[in-house]
Amino acid sequence: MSEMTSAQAIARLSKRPPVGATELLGSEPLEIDAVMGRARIAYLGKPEFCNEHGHIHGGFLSAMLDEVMAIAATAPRNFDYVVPTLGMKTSFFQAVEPGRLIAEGSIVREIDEAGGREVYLAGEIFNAAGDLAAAATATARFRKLPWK
Amino acid sequence: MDGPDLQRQQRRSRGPVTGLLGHRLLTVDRAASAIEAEFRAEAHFFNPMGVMQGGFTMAMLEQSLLDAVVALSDGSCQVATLEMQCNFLAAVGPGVVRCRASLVRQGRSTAFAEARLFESGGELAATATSVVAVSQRGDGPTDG
Repeated sequence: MSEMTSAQAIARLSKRPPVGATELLGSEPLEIDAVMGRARIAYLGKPEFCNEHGHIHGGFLSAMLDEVMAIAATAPRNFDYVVPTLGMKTSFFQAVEPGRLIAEGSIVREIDEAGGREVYLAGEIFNAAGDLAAAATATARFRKLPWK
Repeated sequence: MDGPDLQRQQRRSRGPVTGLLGHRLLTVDRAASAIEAEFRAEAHFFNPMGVMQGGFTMAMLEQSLLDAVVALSDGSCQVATLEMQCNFLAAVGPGVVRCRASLVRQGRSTAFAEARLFESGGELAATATSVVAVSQRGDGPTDG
């Protein structure tokens, strides 16, 4: 188990090679609990993510949720792993205007057995007013970093 | 759907996001209750593994699912995804991605759709299902 503080975990996360999706989404880590496997990340809902109604496309909310869940999943393992998602479900509760959004991800359960290392994850994303806008659950599998 | 109808659906405003996704509606097949669309998987959608982050795969599938509901109903309803589930079968690298989405059932206010995404080599890479709220224009506050 990791003993990293939130600030140490954020510093370690920021040392990873640049990632296209992270930059596109304007990802800004706010708090990482590397003991429990939780993360809180701010994202930028940009005008170019909008549909014809001027609301953030649901897929981009899914992308933010996917990333915050992956960061939560890998924090207790010092970000030495990646977590390709096997399945994910997103529920959309309300339309989201462009702006700063806050997403939270957490590990629900880890299964570490011979032949499998699955992790079950949950995520929520809040609009600028702090209202819950969408929620997700996902199943992923731990894999060692390809560049390690 | 014949040419003018397909063109009408192709021209339908979907907002700036479809430019970012490289979206293009290719076919509307009423007999099969299905549509086909293509998208561009580019480096700004990639994760630390150097392949498309799952959320963007979901964005392409979700757009296709909504296209199917709109194009295969009367073509002018307003739609909003209530929930969407996606399974990731294979990695999606850079290139042109194709989605095929079909309308499974259309009720008065709810539609159920399913879709498949094929990566640039033609391999089936993801499958999805969604529940979509449908309203006629001016009928309510729903959203695409």
